[in-house]
Amino acid sequence: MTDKYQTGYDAYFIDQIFKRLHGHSISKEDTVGLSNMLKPIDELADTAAEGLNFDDEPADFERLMDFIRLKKIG
Amino acid sequence: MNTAIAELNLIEVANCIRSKQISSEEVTRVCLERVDKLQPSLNCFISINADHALTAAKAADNAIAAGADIGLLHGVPLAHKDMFYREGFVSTGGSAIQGKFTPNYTATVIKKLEAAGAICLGGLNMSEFASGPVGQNQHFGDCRNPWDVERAPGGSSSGSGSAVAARLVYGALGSDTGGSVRIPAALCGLVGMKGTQGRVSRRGGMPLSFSLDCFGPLARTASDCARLFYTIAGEDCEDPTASQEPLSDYEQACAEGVKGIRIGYDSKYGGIKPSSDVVRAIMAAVELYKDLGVQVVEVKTPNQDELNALSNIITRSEAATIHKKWLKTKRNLYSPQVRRRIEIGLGISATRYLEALSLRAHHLKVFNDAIFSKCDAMILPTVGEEAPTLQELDVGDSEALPSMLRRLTGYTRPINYYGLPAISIPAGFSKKVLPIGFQIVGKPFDEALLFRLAGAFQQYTDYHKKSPILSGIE
Repeated sequence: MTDKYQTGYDAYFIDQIFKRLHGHSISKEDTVGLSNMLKPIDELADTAAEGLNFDDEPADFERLMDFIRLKKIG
Repeated sequence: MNTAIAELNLIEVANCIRSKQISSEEVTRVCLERVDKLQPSLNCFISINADHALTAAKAADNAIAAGADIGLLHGVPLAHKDMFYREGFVSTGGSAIQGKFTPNYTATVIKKLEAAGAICLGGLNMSEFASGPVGQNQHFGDCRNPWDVERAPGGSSSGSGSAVAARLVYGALGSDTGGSVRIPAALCGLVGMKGTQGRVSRRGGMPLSFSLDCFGPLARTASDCARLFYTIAGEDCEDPTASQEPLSDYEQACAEGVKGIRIGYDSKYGGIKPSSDVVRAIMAAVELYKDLGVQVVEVKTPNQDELNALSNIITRSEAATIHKKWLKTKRNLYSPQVRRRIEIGLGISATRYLEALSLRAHHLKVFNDAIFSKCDAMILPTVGEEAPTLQELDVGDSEALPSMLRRLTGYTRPINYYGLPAISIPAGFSKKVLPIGFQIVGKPFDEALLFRLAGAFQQYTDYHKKSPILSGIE
């Protein structure tokens, strides 16, 4: 994609995602804007992902909701 | 007389219609006259279906005259965010793209309201595609806050907040993916309820995020809100995501005592500092609850910023999936800000999205251990400040945008991520006499407890009885 290795989101990466994965081009202003918006969200999500266990999955959420609903507080 | 009718709350007007003290037609005409007068200043409505409403009101009066069985909302004028499908009526979703979209079926929540006898006056203004917490709309014009028309009513259910607060209708539906019912409720001085994820059917409502969307009512009092919530909640054979969990008598819950209930309070507010006005209002609410026999327990909520990021990942990814085709073929028909807010999801990887969904249980467990192991519910600000001016919101995509969004949705968005129920309650006024709200968050499917706490608070306060002074525009 490029000579230099990229880490995280930048305008070039966004431009390539849209072109290669979604099949359309967006303006330079949009690539810059989107990368600026994505960066902080992605960084925070990275920190949060440290709490993810090997066997966690989306369906655990429903089970936990049910568990909390039925559990009496101490 | 007209003002007196408009000032009645939903239950009072339903009782007056039922007992033939006022006809539904009379009430509907009063509402339509107010809409006519205030729409140029407030811009609450996207469409007004006056003839249809009056026909329905006359039919409601005829049913009463004939001694027919009538529902809890018989003859009561409501209006809803313009995203709930009504067969044969345009449902714009606040967008130009859906500007002429006429659904061929009716949303379950609307069917339930109709079955209870409610009258619908039209479609209310909203953020384009329910994307945005302030309610600005480039296509239909900004909706304005009746407490100060230079200020935003909050969004995305902006018209719902503004119309109910301005006494144009007695209640309204909104949708809440990150706070869009609770935020306008707080900024307009209303009660707004977001039920547990799945508590209310979503069939026939415009989607934004499959995992986080919740539909809910805004009304002037806890009891009004309870009646609307009871009407729309519950199972739906046409929506497999709707819960079959039994409902409670929420209206009765509003009149029950609260002695012995344990409420959690975090003096650090999860790391997002509210304004001094909001802190003062929340402290006063805490003191009142103590006086009513509630045990207030100091708790520590998890960091809100991380949760907001995870919630954003889910909302953006799902919204981008829904909008992907239009983002390519009709991109110029979106307002730039909304397009970007949705389009961002196309840049999020599948693993990141699934991480955010998988982490939901982990974070809910952390919240449960921190809060529900010690108390039954938790009190938080709904929004950390009073309604911002429309000028203050005009930040485009500048660096000021993230901090503005953090201030507006920082306390509400994590609750959608947890899937928990929350009710926003009027808590008083800022120094500039603008409404402030607080929210109470409960355990899954324990909406009755939230209505108990809201009802008790309103028995001893009168914030919900105050009307915006509309002199000059009325």
